[in-house]
Parts: sequence; C-alpha cells; structure tokens
Amino acid sequence: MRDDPHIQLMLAFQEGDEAAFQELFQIFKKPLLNFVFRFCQDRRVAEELTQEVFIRVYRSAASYRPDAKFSTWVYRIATNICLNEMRSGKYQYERSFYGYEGDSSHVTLESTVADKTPNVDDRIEDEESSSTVRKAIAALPDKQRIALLLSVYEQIPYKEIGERLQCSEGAVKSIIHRAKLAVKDILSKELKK
Amino acid sequence: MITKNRCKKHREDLIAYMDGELSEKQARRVELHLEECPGCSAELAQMKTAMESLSLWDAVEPSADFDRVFQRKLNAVRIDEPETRKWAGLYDLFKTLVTPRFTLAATAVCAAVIVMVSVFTAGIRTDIPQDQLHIATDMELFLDLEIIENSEALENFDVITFLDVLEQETNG
Repeated sequence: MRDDPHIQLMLAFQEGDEAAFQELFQIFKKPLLNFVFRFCQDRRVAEELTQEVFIRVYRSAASYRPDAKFSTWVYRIATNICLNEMRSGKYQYERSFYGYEGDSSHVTLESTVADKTPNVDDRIEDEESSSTVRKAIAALPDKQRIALLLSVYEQIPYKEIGERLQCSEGAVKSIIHRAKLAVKDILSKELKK
Repeated sequence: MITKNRCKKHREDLIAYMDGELSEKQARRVELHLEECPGCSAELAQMKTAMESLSLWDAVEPSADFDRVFQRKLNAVRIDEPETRKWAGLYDLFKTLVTPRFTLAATAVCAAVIVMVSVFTAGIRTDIPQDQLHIATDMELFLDLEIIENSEALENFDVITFLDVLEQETNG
C-alpha cells in the first residue's frame, strides 16, 4: 500500500509539505471532476463539489491513515459528497434531458460532444445519442449510477469499487449487473424511436 | 436443449464476463454457453453496443477559473485552520475514546457509582429533630454504662425512692 505514490504525497502533505497537496490536486482534479459531473450532470455543481472533495482532503490531513489506495480514499470522499449533497437538495442541479440554456458556465454533455464533431448532421446524431446516454445514466438509482460510472469511465475493478462503496465484491457485481441492464434497456428503447 | 434457467444463470454472469471480472473457469463456462445459445450471444452483443455508446460522453476539462476559485476557498480554510485543527483534535480524541468497549466500561462504572452513592445515602436521615439526634449520638455511650444496663434493678431499691428523706435525716 505504501508503494502508492499518491499515498506518499499525502503523507508528505501530512508532514506539512503543501506542494505535495497541490500536486495531488493537479493529478486528481480532472478525473474527480468528470466522475462528479457524470453523476450530477451539471458542470457548475460538479466543479463546486469537486473543490469540496479537495477541501475535505486538506482538512483530513491530520487524521489521514493510508489504509487503502489514495484513489480509493479520495473517490470514497467524492462518492459520499455526491450522495449527501444530492440528497440534501442543496444543489438544484440540472437533470433535464436537453440540458441547460442561457448560462455559458453550464457546459452540458451535448456541447462537450458537439465541440469535437465537425459535420452538422453527425453533430445532431451524436447529440441525440449522447443525450440518450445521459438520460439513461440519470435514471439509475444513486448507488447503481456510481458503480456504473466507476466501472465504465474509470475502469475500476469490482473489488475496488466495493471498497469505495463499502460493500462486497458480490454486491458490486449485482449492482453493476442491474445498472448495465437498465442502461441497455433504456438505450434500446430510445434508439428504436 | 438450452433451458431458460441455464440462460438466466449465464446472463447474470454475462456482464461480469464482459468486464473481465470472472475467473478463467467461470469465463470458459460462459463462452461454452455462448457458443450454443444464440439468445445469450445476441444479449451480449447488445450489451457491448450499449456500453460502447456510453463512451460518447467525453471527459470535460476543468473551467479556466477552477484552480483560482479553489485556491481562494483553500485560503479561507487556511485562515480557519488553527481553530478547525483544535476542534478536529478534540473530535479525533473523542472518536478514539468512544469505542463500544469504552462506552460499555463507562456505563458500568457510572452504574457502580450510582449504586454505591445510593447505598451510603439511604441510611442517612436528615429529618431527625436535634434532641433525638443527640440521644442517638450518645446511645452507644449509654449502652456502655453498666448502671444504665441495670436500671431496672436499681428501681427496686426503696432507699433510692426516698433518697431526699435519707439526705435530710443524715444532715439533720
């Protein structure tokens, strides 16, 4: 466990090395932002929650113990923040199917795909497909959504997802099975329309 | 002949198979089933297509002011930090102490103290008048005096009954 370079950085920060914390921030800000963004589907909220994750990391330095991989620990914090904040209703995040209009700070899924596609027809097609993907993922219960995001986008093995969600590997297998079946069904129905 | 139950069992493993989460033996079992079951093969193909479509959701980059906003928030935390650390230290101590074993032991000690205090205070009455209290205080002393123990015998002596007469006669 101690071979994990991120743990070494966190331990250095624990000893007062502020630069080590900044390095961890630079390494994990993008993957964590994407994880949170895919969960809450609102860019502004995702950025606030991601920053909150790092504030928690900063404040936890004194009590930090390297019991698990650093990424496992930090994603567990992110997962808890996502679940708690969304349940508390503090953030009225955007979950409408066709995204947010009028505020340039709200970068939606559609625009992230559209920017990369030069052809207008392809763009429309991709936007429709990606909206369907977004809708399918948003429809999942919280735990299934988190497990699916970790599995599909972060390529995290079931065992590690279990550590992050604090449940058994068998339970993760079952959660992901249900999540992927649900996504497949929604996508199949939407794409047939 | 493929039974529905066999398909159901294998379908539960299809996603784990697709994710490379099965052991070699389990994966081989699924592969053998797929070779002879067009239904499960089609299901796996659909599932792969569905999961591939999830890749349409590209990663986003943090906004231009993401770092600046975070550093501002972090500075606010740094200002609060000495106070926060003090309370965090107390909280950590609290968390260390308040284990189930500690709670049980503390409860047992409290219960013992309550019982002991109850036993000691039960025998002490505070509503006794002062004169009775005086007698009670000296009771041990009275019991120690032999003359008091034999007071009934003394009452039988006539001489004692007419002690003042005797005294007058003696003086006279």
